[in-house]
Amino acid sequence: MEKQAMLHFWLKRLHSFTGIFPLGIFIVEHLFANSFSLFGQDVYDRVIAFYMGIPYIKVIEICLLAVPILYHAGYGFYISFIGSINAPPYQYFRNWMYILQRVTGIMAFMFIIAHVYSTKIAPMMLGIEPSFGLMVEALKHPPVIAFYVVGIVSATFHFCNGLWSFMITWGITLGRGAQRFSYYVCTVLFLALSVMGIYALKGFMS
Amino acid sequence: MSEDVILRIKRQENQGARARWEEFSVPRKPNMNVISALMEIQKNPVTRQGDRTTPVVWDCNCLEEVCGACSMLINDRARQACSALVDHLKQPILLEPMTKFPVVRDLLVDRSRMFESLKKVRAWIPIDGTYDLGPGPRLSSDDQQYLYEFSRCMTCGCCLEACPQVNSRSPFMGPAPLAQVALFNGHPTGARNRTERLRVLMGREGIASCGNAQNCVEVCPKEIPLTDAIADLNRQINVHGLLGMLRR
Repeated sequence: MEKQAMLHFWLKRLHSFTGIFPLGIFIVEHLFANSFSLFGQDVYDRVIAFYMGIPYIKVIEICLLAVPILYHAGYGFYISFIGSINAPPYQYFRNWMYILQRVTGIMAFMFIIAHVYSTKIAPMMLGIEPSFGLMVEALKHPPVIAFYVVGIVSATFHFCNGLWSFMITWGITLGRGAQRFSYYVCTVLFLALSVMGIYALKGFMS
Repeated sequence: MSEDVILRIKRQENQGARARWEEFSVPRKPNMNVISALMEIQKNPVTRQGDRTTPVVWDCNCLEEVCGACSMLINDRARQACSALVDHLKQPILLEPMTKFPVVRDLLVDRSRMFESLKKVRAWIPIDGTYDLGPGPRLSSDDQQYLYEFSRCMTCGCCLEACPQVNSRSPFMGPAPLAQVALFNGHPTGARNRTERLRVLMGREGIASCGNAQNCVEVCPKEIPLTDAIADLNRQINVHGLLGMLRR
Protein backbone atom coordinates (compact mmCIF):
# COMPACT_ATOMS: atom_id res chain seq x y z
CA MET A 1 0.00 0.00 0.00
CA GLU A 2 2.69 2.43 1.06
CA LYS A 3 4.99 1.24 -1.72
CA GLN A 4 2.27 1.96 -4.24
CA ALA A 5 1.80 5.46 -2.84
CA MET A 6 5.50 6.13 -3.39
CA LEU A 7 5.37 5.13 -7.07
CA HIS A 8 4.76 8.72 -8.21
CA PHE A 9 7.77 9.87 -6.19
CA TRP A 10 10.08 7.22 -7.65
CA LEU A 11 8.90 7.77 -11.21
CA LYS A 12 9.37 11.54 -10.82
CA ARG A 13 12.88 11.14 -9.46
CA LEU A 14 13.69 8.68 -12.27
CA HIS A 15 12.31 11.19 -14.77
CA SER A 16 14.53 13.90 -13.29
CA PHE A 17 17.56 11.59 -13.25
CA THR A 18 17.19 10.35 -16.82
CA GLY A 19 16.93 13.96 -18.00
CA ILE A 20 20.58 14.48 -17.06
CA PHE A 21 21.98 10.93 -17.03
CA PRO A 22 22.13 9.93 -19.84
CA LEU A 23 20.01 12.35 -21.91
CA GLY A 24 21.62 15.67 -20.94
CA ILE A 25 25.10 14.19 -21.23
CA PHE A 26 24.15 12.83 -24.64
CA ILE A 27 22.94 16.23 -25.92
CA VAL A 28 26.27 17.82 -25.03
CA GLU A 29 28.20 14.94 -26.59
CA HIS A 30 25.99 14.84 -29.69
CA LEU A 31 26.21 18.57 -30.47
CA PHE A 32 29.96 18.43 -29.89
CA ALA A 33 30.44 15.41 -32.16
CA ASN A 34 28.28 17.07 -34.84
CA SER A 35 30.77 19.92 -34.92
CA PHE A 36 33.13 17.59 -36.81
CA SER A 37 30.94 18.64 -39.78
CA LEU A 38 32.98 21.84 -39.83
CA PHE A 39 36.03 19.80 -40.94
CA GLY A 40 34.28 18.46 -44.03
CA GLN A 41 32.84 15.24 -45.38
CA ASP A 42 35.83 12.93 -44.92
CA VAL A 43 36.42 13.75 -41.26
CA TYR A 44 32.71 13.61 -40.45
CA ASP A 45 32.15 10.24 -42.10
CA ARG A 46 35.19 8.84 -40.29
CA VAL A 47 33.75 10.04 -36.97
CA ILE A 48 30.44 8.31 -37.78
CA ALA A 49 32.33 5.15 -38.66
CA PHE A 50 34.12 5.36 -35.30
CA TYR A 51 30.84 5.74 -33.42
CA MET A 52 29.21 2.89 -35.28
CA GLY A 53 32.24 0.76 -34.45
CA ILE A 54 31.95 1.26 -30.66
CA PRO A 55 31.47 -2.10 -28.89
CA TYR A 56 27.88 -2.80 -27.77
CA ILE A 57 26.68 0.19 -29.85
CA LYS A 58 23.19 -1.32 -30.36
CA VAL A 59 22.86 -2.01 -26.64
CA ILE A 60 23.97 1.54 -25.85
CA GLU A 61 21.57 3.00 -28.42
CA ILE A 62 18.63 1.11 -27.03
CA CYS A 63 19.35 1.07 -23.28
CA LEU A 64 21.02 4.46 -22.85
CA LEU A 65 19.20 6.46 -25.53
CA ALA A 66 15.93 5.03 -26.86
CA VAL A 67 14.49 3.73 -23.59
CA PRO A 68 15.45 6.77 -21.45
CA ILE A 69 14.09 9.19 -24.09
CA LEU A 70 10.81 7.32 -24.39
CA TYR A 71 10.48 7.11 -20.60
CA HIS A 72 11.44 10.75 -20.04
CA ALA A 73 9.02 11.88 -22.76
CA GLY A 74 6.21 9.59 -21.64
CA TYR A 75 6.37 10.64 -18.02
CA GLY A 76 6.98 14.23 -19.15
CA PHE A 77 3.66 14.18 -20.99
CA TYR A 78 2.00 12.97 -17.79
CA ILE A 79 3.66 15.80 -15.82
CA SER A 80 2.45 18.32 -18.40
CA PHE A 81 -1.03 16.85 -18.09
CA ILE A 82 -1.19 17.27 -14.29
CA GLY A 83 0.16 20.82 -14.55
CA SER A 84 -1.72 23.92 -15.67
CA ILE A 85 -0.96 27.28 -17.23
CA ASN A 86 -1.64 30.36 -15.12
CA ALA A 87 0.89 32.86 -16.44
CA PRO A 88 -1.55 35.55 -16.79
CA PRO A 89 -2.38 36.43 -14.01
CA TYR A 90 0.79 35.15 -12.31
CA GLN A 91 3.41 36.66 -14.61
CA TYR A 92 6.57 35.72 -12.81
CA PHE A 93 9.81 34.83 -14.56
CA ARG A 94 9.97 31.30 -13.14
CA ASN A 95 6.33 30.69 -14.03
CA TRP A 96 7.11 31.48 -17.68
CA MET A 97 10.11 29.15 -17.46
CA TYR A 98 7.83 26.44 -16.02
CA ILE A 99 5.56 26.79 -19.06
CA LEU A 100 8.49 26.99 -21.50
CA GLN A 101 9.97 23.83 -19.98
CA ARG A 102 6.84 21.90 -20.91
CA VAL A 103 6.47 23.53 -24.34
CA THR A 104 10.13 22.95 -25.30
CA GLY A 105 9.92 19.38 -24.01
CA ILE A 106 7.05 18.61 -26.35
CA MET A 107 8.75 20.45 -29.24
CA ALA A 108 12.08 18.73 -28.64
CA PHE A 109 10.39 15.33 -28.53
CA MET A 110 8.63 15.90 -31.86
CA PHE A 111 11.93 17.07 -33.34
CA ILE A 112 13.79 14.03 -31.99
CA ILE A 113 11.20 11.62 -33.42
CA ALA A 114 11.48 13.23 -36.89
CA HIS A 115 15.26 13.53 -36.63
CA VAL A 116 15.83 9.93 -35.54
CA TYR A 117 13.42 8.67 -38.16
CA SER A 118 15.00 10.59 -41.04
CA THR A 119 18.64 10.09 -40.11
CA LYS A 120 18.58 6.67 -38.51
CA ILE A 121 15.48 4.55 -38.99
CA ALA A 122 14.63 5.43 -42.61
CA PRO A 123 18.23 4.98 -43.90
CA MET A 124 18.51 1.74 -41.92
CA MET A 125 15.40 0.37 -43.64
CA LEU A 126 16.90 1.35 -46.99
CA GLY A 127 20.12 -0.36 -45.97
CA ILE A 128 22.29 2.77 -45.97
CA GLU A 129 24.42 4.29 -43.23
CA PRO A 130 23.73 7.84 -41.96
CA SER A 131 26.32 10.10 -43.56
CA PHE A 132 27.50 13.64 -44.26
CA GLY A 133 25.86 13.50 -47.69
CA LEU A 134 22.50 12.64 -46.15
CA MET A 135 22.58 15.77 -43.97
CA VAL A 136 23.72 17.95 -46.88
CA GLU A 137 20.71 16.74 -48.90
CA ALA A 138 18.27 17.36 -46.04
CA LEU A 139 19.60 20.81 -45.18
CA LYS A 140 19.18 22.05 -48.77
CA HIS A 141 15.58 22.87 -47.89
CA PRO A 142 15.04 26.07 -45.83
CA PRO A 143 12.07 24.58 -43.87
CA VAL A 144 14.33 21.72 -42.76
CA ILE A 145 16.98 24.20 -41.62
CA ALA A 146 14.35 26.09 -39.62
CA PHE A 147 13.07 22.80 -38.18
CA TYR A 148 16.59 21.87 -37.07
CA VAL A 149 17.30 25.28 -35.52
CA VAL A 150 14.02 25.22 -33.57
CA GLY A 151 14.61 21.60 -32.58
CA ILE A 152 18.17 22.24 -31.35
CA VAL A 153 17.20 25.35 -29.38
CA SER A 154 14.21 23.55 -27.83
CA ALA A 155 16.37 20.62 -26.77
CA THR A 156 19.17 22.77 -25.33
CA PHE A 157 16.70 25.00 -23.49
CA HIS A 158 14.84 21.99 -22.10
CA PHE A 159 18.12 20.45 -20.96
CA CYS A 160 19.59 23.60 -19.37
CA ASN A 161 16.40 24.71 -17.64
CA GLY A 162 15.90 21.08 -16.62
CA LEU A 163 19.39 21.07 -15.14
CA TRP A 164 18.39 24.09 -13.04
CA SER A 165 15.34 22.27 -11.62
CA PHE A 166 17.29 18.99 -11.33
CA MET A 167 19.53 20.75 -8.81
CA ILE A 168 16.45 21.64 -6.73
CA THR A 169 14.77 18.24 -7.10
CA TRP A 170 17.94 16.57 -5.82
CA GLY A 171 18.42 19.09 -3.02
CA ILE A 172 21.67 20.59 -4.33
CA THR A 173 20.75 24.28 -4.67
CA LEU A 174 18.74 25.14 -1.55
CA GLY A 175 18.60 28.89 -1.15
CA ARG A 176 17.55 31.68 -3.47
CA GLY A 177 21.12 32.86 -3.95
CA ALA A 178 22.31 29.39 -4.96
CA GLN A 179 19.35 29.02 -7.31
CA ARG A 180 20.07 32.40 -8.89
CA PHE A 181 23.71 31.41 -9.40
CA SER A 182 22.77 28.06 -10.95
CA TYR A 183 20.37 29.96 -13.23
CA TYR A 184 23.27 32.07 -14.55
CA VAL A 185 25.39 28.95 -15.12
CA CYS A 186 22.52 27.19 -16.90
CA THR A 187 21.87 30.25 -19.08
CA VAL A 188 25.51 30.39 -20.20
CA LEU A 189 25.37 26.65 -20.90
CA PHE A 190 22.16 27.12 -22.91
CA LEU A 191 23.67 29.87 -25.05
CA ALA A 192 26.91 27.96 -25.61
CA LEU A 193 25.14 24.70 -26.56
CA SER A 194 22.68 26.48 -28.87
CA VAL A 195 25.48 28.28 -30.71
CA MET A 196 27.51 25.07 -30.96
CA GLY A 197 24.52 23.09 -32.22
CA ILE A 198 23.45 25.63 -34.83
CA TYR A 199 27.03 26.28 -35.92
CA ALA A 200 27.49 22.56 -36.58
CA LEU A 201 24.66 22.81 -39.15
CA LYS A 202 26.81 25.27 -41.08
CA GLY A 203 29.31 22.51 -41.79
CA PHE A 204 26.67 20.70 -43.87
CA MET A 205 25.72 23.80 -45.81
CA SER A 206 29.05 25.15 -47.05
CA MET B 1 -11.69 61.41 -3.85
CA SER B 2 -15.43 61.84 -4.32
CA GLU B 3 -16.01 59.31 -7.12
CA ASP B 4 -17.51 55.92 -6.37
CA VAL B 5 -15.77 52.57 -6.21
CA ILE B 6 -16.99 50.00 -8.72
CA LEU B 7 -16.78 46.31 -7.77
CA ARG B 8 -17.61 43.34 -10.01
CA ILE B 9 -18.25 40.32 -7.82
CA LYS B 10 -18.66 36.68 -8.81
CA ARG B 11 -21.73 35.37 -6.99
CA GLN B 12 -22.42 31.68 -6.41
CA GLU B 13 -24.96 30.02 -4.10
CA ASN B 14 -22.79 26.93 -3.52
CA GLN B 15 -20.12 24.79 -5.18
CA GLY B 16 -22.48 23.21 -7.71
CA ALA B 17 -24.52 26.31 -8.52
CA ARG B 18 -24.10 28.49 -11.60
CA ALA B 19 -21.96 31.55 -11.02
CA ARG B 20 -23.08 35.01 -12.06
CA TRP B 21 -21.44 38.44 -11.99
CA GLU B 22 -22.93 41.41 -10.17
CA GLU B 23 -21.67 44.96 -10.24
CA PHE B 24 -21.82 47.29 -7.26
CA SER B 25 -20.98 50.93 -6.70
CA VAL B 26 -20.06 52.16 -3.22
CA PRO B 27 -19.02 55.63 -2.03
CA ARG B 28 -15.24 55.95 -1.73
CA LYS B 29 -13.86 56.63 1.73
CA PRO B 30 -10.31 57.44 2.76
CA ASN B 31 -8.04 54.38 3.26
CA MET B 32 -10.80 52.04 2.18
CA ASN B 33 -9.90 48.36 1.77
CA VAL B 34 -11.81 45.61 -0.03
CA ILE B 35 -13.39 44.46 3.25
CA SER B 36 -14.81 47.90 4.01
CA ALA B 37 -16.11 48.11 0.44
CA LEU B 38 -17.83 44.73 0.98
CA MET B 39 -19.29 46.07 4.26
CA GLU B 40 -20.79 49.00 2.33
CA ILE B 41 -22.48 46.51 -0.01
CA GLN B 42 -23.73 44.56 3.00
CA LYS B 43 -25.42 47.71 4.33
CA ASN B 44 -27.33 48.19 1.09
CA PRO B 45 -27.21 45.17 -1.23
CA VAL B 46 -28.39 46.87 -4.41
CA THR B 47 -26.52 46.34 -7.69
CA ARG B 48 -25.32 49.17 -9.86
CA GLN B 49 -28.31 48.55 -12.15
CA GLY B 50 -30.59 49.18 -9.16
CA ASP B 51 -31.67 45.56 -8.58
CA ARG B 52 -32.08 44.43 -4.99
CA THR B 53 -29.89 41.33 -4.29
CA THR B 54 -28.62 39.22 -1.40
CA PRO B 55 -25.67 40.58 0.62
CA VAL B 56 -22.32 39.27 -0.60
CA VAL B 57 -20.88 36.55 1.63
CA TRP B 58 -17.19 36.62 2.52
CA ASP B 59 -14.92 35.49 5.31
CA CYS B 60 -12.68 37.69 7.45
CA ASN B 61 -11.35 37.85 10.94
CA CYS B 62 -8.19 39.66 11.99
CA LEU B 63 -8.19 42.51 9.42
CA GLU B 64 -4.39 42.81 9.69
CA GLU B 65 -3.16 40.05 7.35
CA VAL B 66 -2.29 37.50 10.02
CA CYS B 67 -5.26 35.09 9.97
CA GLY B 68 -5.59 34.27 6.26
CA ALA B 69 -9.39 34.05 6.34
CA CYS B 70 -10.17 36.76 3.78
CA SER B 71 -8.09 35.29 0.90
CA MET B 72 -9.83 35.78 -2.45
CA LEU B 73 -9.02 36.62 -6.04
CA ILE B 74 -8.74 40.39 -6.33
CA ASN B 75 -8.23 41.50 -9.94
CA ASP B 76 -7.40 37.86 -10.80
CA ARG B 77 -4.74 37.36 -8.12
CA ALA B 78 -4.97 35.59 -4.78
CA ARG B 79 -4.43 37.89 -1.79
CA GLN B 80 -6.06 39.04 1.42
CA ALA B 81 -9.00 41.43 1.08
CA CYS B 82 -8.05 43.25 4.30
CA SER B 83 -4.65 44.39 3.01
CA ALA B 84 -5.96 45.20 -0.48
CA LEU B 85 -6.37 48.98 -0.41
CA VAL B 86 -8.96 50.28 -2.83
CA ASP B 87 -6.79 53.29 -3.77
CA HIS B 88 -4.13 50.91 -5.09
CA LEU B 89 -6.49 48.76 -7.18
CA LYS B 90 -7.53 49.08 -10.81
CA GLN B 91 -11.27 49.60 -11.24
CA PRO B 92 -13.66 47.95 -11.60
CA ILE B 93 -12.31 45.77 -8.80
CA LEU B 94 -12.91 42.11 -9.71
CA LEU B 95 -13.65 39.87 -6.73
CA GLU B 96 -13.82 36.09 -7.13
CA PRO B 97 -13.55 33.15 -4.75
CA MET B 98 -10.28 31.17 -4.89
CA THR B 99 -10.52 28.40 -7.46
CA LYS B 100 -8.59 25.60 -5.71
CA PHE B 101 -11.09 25.25 -2.87
CA PRO B 102 -14.81 24.38 -2.85
CA VAL B 103 -17.04 27.47 -2.73
CA VAL B 104 -19.31 27.70 0.31
CA ARG B 105 -21.02 30.81 -0.98
CA ASP B 106 -19.92 33.85 -3.03
CA LEU B 107 -16.39 34.72 -1.87
CA LEU B 108 -16.34 32.26 1.03
CA VAL B 109 -14.42 29.04 0.36
CA ASP B 110 -13.74 25.92 2.41
CA ARG B 111 -10.00 25.62 3.07
CA SER B 112 -10.33 22.32 4.97
CA ARG B 113 -8.01 20.51 2.56
CA MET B 114 -5.11 22.53 3.97
CA PHE B 115 -5.90 21.44 7.51
CA GLU B 116 -6.29 17.85 6.33
CA SER B 117 -2.81 18.12 4.77
CA LEU B 118 -1.37 19.43 8.04
CA LYS B 119 -2.80 16.36 9.76
CA LYS B 120 -1.39 14.06 7.09
CA VAL B 121 2.14 15.44 7.39
CA ARG B 122 1.90 15.44 11.22
CA ALA B 123 2.62 19.15 11.53
CA TRP B 124 3.13 19.04 15.28
CA ILE B 125 5.59 17.81 17.89
CA PRO B 126 4.21 14.92 19.97
CA ILE B 127 5.39 15.52 23.55
CA ASP B 128 2.27 14.45 25.46
CA GLY B 129 2.93 11.54 27.77
CA THR B 130 2.40 10.17 31.25
CA TYR B 131 5.37 11.89 32.85
CA ASP B 132 7.25 15.18 32.64
CA LEU B 133 9.83 15.01 29.85
CA GLY B 134 11.76 17.96 31.21
CA PRO B 135 12.93 20.95 29.18
CA GLY B 136 13.59 20.33 25.47
CA PRO B 137 16.87 20.98 23.68
CA ARG B 138 17.78 24.57 22.86
CA LEU B 139 17.89 25.99 19.35
CA SER B 140 20.73 28.12 18.04
CA SER B 141 19.68 31.61 17.11
CA ASP B 142 20.42 30.89 13.42
CA ASP B 143 18.03 27.94 13.50
CA GLN B 144 15.44 30.06 15.28
CA GLN B 145 15.65 32.68 12.53
CA TYR B 146 15.35 30.04 9.80
CA LEU B 147 12.40 28.26 11.40
CA TYR B 148 10.59 31.44 12.43
CA GLU B 149 9.94 32.25 8.78
CA PHE B 150 7.98 29.01 8.34
CA SER B 151 6.08 29.48 11.60
CA ARG B 152 4.40 32.59 10.18
CA CYS B 153 2.22 30.54 7.79
CA MET B 154 -1.47 31.39 8.27
CA THR B 155 -2.80 28.66 5.90
CA CYS B 156 -4.39 31.40 3.79
CA GLY B 157 -4.23 29.29 0.61
CA CYS B 158 -2.60 31.87 -1.71
CA CYS B 159 0.31 29.50 -2.51
CA LEU B 160 -2.06 26.68 -3.48
CA GLU B 161 -4.10 29.08 -5.57
CA ALA B 162 -1.04 30.32 -7.51
CA CYS B 163 0.56 26.87 -7.88
CA PRO B 164 0.08 25.47 -11.40
CA GLN B 165 0.61 21.95 -10.01
CA VAL B 166 -2.37 22.17 -7.64
CA ASN B 167 -5.50 21.39 -9.66
CA SER B 168 -8.23 18.81 -10.09
CA ARG B 169 -6.01 16.52 -12.22
CA SER B 170 -3.17 16.48 -9.70
CA PRO B 171 -3.01 14.92 -6.23
CA PHE B 172 -0.50 17.57 -4.97
CA MET B 173 -1.16 18.89 -1.44
CA GLY B 174 0.53 22.20 -2.32
CA PRO B 175 3.42 24.22 -0.89
CA ALA B 176 2.04 25.31 2.51
CA PRO B 177 2.13 21.92 4.31
CA LEU B 178 5.64 21.30 2.93
CA ALA B 179 6.92 24.42 4.70
CA GLN B 180 5.38 23.09 7.92
CA VAL B 181 7.33 19.85 7.52
CA ALA B 182 10.48 21.96 7.15
CA LEU B 183 9.49 23.78 10.36
CA PHE B 184 8.86 20.68 12.49
CA ASN B 185 11.72 18.65 11.00
CA GLY B 186 14.02 21.57 11.76
CA HIS B 187 13.10 21.57 15.44
CA PRO B 188 15.38 19.29 17.50
CA THR B 189 12.44 17.57 19.25
CA GLY B 190 10.32 17.52 16.11
CA ALA B 191 13.19 15.89 14.22
CA ARG B 192 12.48 12.67 16.15
CA ASN B 193 9.48 12.16 13.86
CA ARG B 194 11.33 13.38 10.78
CA THR B 195 11.15 10.12 8.85
CA GLU B 196 7.38 9.81 9.39
CA ARG B 197 6.83 13.23 7.86
CA LEU B 198 9.24 12.63 4.97
CA ARG B 199 7.47 9.37 4.16
CA VAL B 200 4.22 11.28 3.69
CA LEU B 201 6.02 13.71 1.40
CA MET B 202 7.29 10.76 -0.66
CA GLY B 203 3.67 9.68 -1.06
CA ARG B 204 1.12 10.41 -3.75
CA GLU B 205 0.17 13.92 -2.63
CA GLY B 206 3.74 14.84 -1.76
CA ILE B 207 6.75 16.73 -2.97
CA ALA B 208 7.18 14.86 -6.29
CA SER B 209 4.41 16.98 -7.82
CA CYS B 210 6.31 20.23 -7.29
CA GLY B 211 7.10 21.69 -10.73
CA ASN B 212 9.45 24.47 -9.57
CA ALA B 213 7.28 27.23 -11.00
CA GLN B 214 7.99 29.06 -7.72
CA ASN B 215 4.78 31.09 -7.83
CA CYS B 216 4.19 30.14 -4.19
CA VAL B 217 7.10 32.17 -2.89
CA GLU B 218 6.10 35.14 -5.08
CA VAL B 219 2.49 35.32 -3.86
CA CYS B 220 2.99 34.40 -0.19
CA PRO B 221 1.77 37.43 1.79
CA LYS B 222 3.97 36.40 4.73
CA GLU B 223 7.04 36.15 2.48
CA ILE B 224 7.73 32.61 3.67
CA PRO B 225 10.69 31.09 1.78
CA LEU B 226 8.55 28.17 0.52
CA THR B 227 10.98 27.22 -2.25
CA ASP B 228 13.86 27.02 0.28
CA ALA B 229 11.70 24.64 2.30
CA ILE B 230 10.96 22.48 -0.74
CA ALA B 231 14.63 22.24 -1.79
CA ASP B 232 15.64 21.53 1.83
CA LEU B 233 13.04 18.73 2.04
CA ASN B 234 14.32 17.27 -1.22
CA ARG B 235 17.74 17.06 0.39
CA GLN B 236 16.31 15.56 3.60
CA ILE B 237 14.56 12.94 1.48
CA ASN B 238 17.89 12.09 -0.20
CA VAL B 239 19.56 11.57 3.17
CA HIS B 240 16.77 10.05 5.26
CA GLY B 241 14.51 8.62 2.57
CA LEU B 242 16.73 7.36 -0.23
CA LEU B 243 19.90 6.58 1.71
CA GLY B 244 17.66 5.42 4.58
CA MET B 245 16.42 2.65 2.28
CA LEU B 246 19.92 1.18 2.37
CA ARG B 247 19.48 0.47 6.08
CA ARG B 248 16.72 -1.99 5.35
